[in-house]
Amino acid sequence: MKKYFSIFTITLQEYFTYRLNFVMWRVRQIFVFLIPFFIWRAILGSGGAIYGYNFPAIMTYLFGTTILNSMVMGSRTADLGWMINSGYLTIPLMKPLSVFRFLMTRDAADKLFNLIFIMVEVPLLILIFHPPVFLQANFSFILLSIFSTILAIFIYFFINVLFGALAFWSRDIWAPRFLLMVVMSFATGSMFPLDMLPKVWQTVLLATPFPYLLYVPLKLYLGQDPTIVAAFAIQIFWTVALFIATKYVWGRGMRVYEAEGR
Amino acid sequence: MAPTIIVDSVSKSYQVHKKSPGLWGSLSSLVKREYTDVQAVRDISFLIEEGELVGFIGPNGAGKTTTLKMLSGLLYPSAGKVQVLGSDPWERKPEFLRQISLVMGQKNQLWWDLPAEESFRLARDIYNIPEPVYKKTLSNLVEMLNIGDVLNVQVRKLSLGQRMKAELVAALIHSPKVLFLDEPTIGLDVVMQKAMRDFIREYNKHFHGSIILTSHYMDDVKELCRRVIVIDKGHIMFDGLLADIVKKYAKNKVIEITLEDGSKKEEEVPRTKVAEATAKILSKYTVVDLTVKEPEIEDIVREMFGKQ
Repeated sequence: MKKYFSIFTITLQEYFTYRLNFVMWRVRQIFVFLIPFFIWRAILGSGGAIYGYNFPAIMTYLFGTTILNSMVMGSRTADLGWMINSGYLTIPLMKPLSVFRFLMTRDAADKLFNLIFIMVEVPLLILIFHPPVFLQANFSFILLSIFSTILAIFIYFFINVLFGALAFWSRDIWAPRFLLMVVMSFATGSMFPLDMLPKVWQTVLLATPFPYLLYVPLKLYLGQDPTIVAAFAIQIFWTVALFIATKYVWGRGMRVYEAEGR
Repeated sequence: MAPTIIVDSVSKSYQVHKKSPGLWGSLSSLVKREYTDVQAVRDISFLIEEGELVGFIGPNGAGKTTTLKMLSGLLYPSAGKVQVLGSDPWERKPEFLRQISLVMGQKNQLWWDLPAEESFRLARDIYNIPEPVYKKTLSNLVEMLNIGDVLNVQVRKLSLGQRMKAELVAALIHSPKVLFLDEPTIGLDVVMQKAMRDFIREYNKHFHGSIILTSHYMDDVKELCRRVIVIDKGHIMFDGLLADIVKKYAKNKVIEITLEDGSKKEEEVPRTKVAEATAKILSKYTVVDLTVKEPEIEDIVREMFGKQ
């Protein structure tokens, strides 16, 4: 375990090397939060509700997805495609390491890093803008949400490995990666709550793994929707299915890996 | 004891996507793709014993790196069997990976943005090296390579030579039993090349690990390896003592003479006719000095590759 802890700390050290980059990244994150904040305040700030969401509900949703985002979506595994094509993957492969654990550790460091700053930034934003935020008091919803978040972390990881593994067969994976980013930006519910969509679309989306990354864990936290517990079961299914798919694709990919350039 | 490395009738082919030239070729390749198999390595076999330092020589694209990648478990052989330290490299067992190391010239495994020492410390934890052993190995390597002063400098700020040395430290910190060196001296200046060679020789002497070295600098091989494997177009053309290449492939010897006026002349003559030719030269010229030499290894190898 010590080796992964070392990978964890060295990844953090890397992050702290470049101060400007690091400050800009935080600034970007705050903007990502502020833009929807102002939009929703313009729409709902003076009262009323849309699709059952009033201002406090949407603010809770917004804060919730911001925090969840930093826990679920790490940015290191997204490099996998590049690692395969550049031959960088050779380095972890040649060590007594599990490549998956190596990537997950790097992601975990990335997440911890983001989370620490979010924990400073969110209270600051609350202090400045006084948005109304709902705090869940029912412990079972909180627990369910934590479990769901853990599964979400795995689902995100598997999706990323699957997309990254495309690089075993294709030299350029920019287009699929971009497509994934676009789909993720709305299908996870990071832009708006998915229950604002027509019922048909909700059903379609809930059959894909994406809403289980942000929307479902957050809904479980909010505890408003009783049917969402069924979604938890589908989430478990997706976690297992994606795990099997990832293992299979990775095994096939390793057979065609050419360790080019290294 | 079984040999450290067993390679038994191994072949490796790649699928390469063939594109007709021009824009039309690119467009049509969107619809229909043709693939051709490229044979990188064809039916090669050899054994390497513990502690051997073997040189792999051959022109670019001969299959040297492909072979090395199969030995280290990165590539899956299309046919044949590879065994290193008693296990199949492809299975990538932790015990196997703990005992090998692969260094590829030009590329680095060090963490670019951090001082080299951080990479060494990470390696210590990855290979589970006890602190006293780590300290001792590190100080040995640092002393042998003479890089004590740059350990806390960001890797990206190091010169190529310094970086290659640091790479070697990172690759050897766990005292591997088998070391694969792929073009370790590429791009280095003459002084640094020599330092590198001296180090490899010393390392092999003190640590008894098997080393396989690929290079297209004949000097590397000439100075380091007793045994060489010559490979070209995926075939092994020669496997044996370096000295035997000369016997086997050099059909001629070189007679060098220095004349009275100080000018030098060289003449290549068939091996069997050396005595005859020497007598002839001595009767024809007034010779101050005469030497009969073997031709340069470079020339022999070039001839071997040229013939195919």
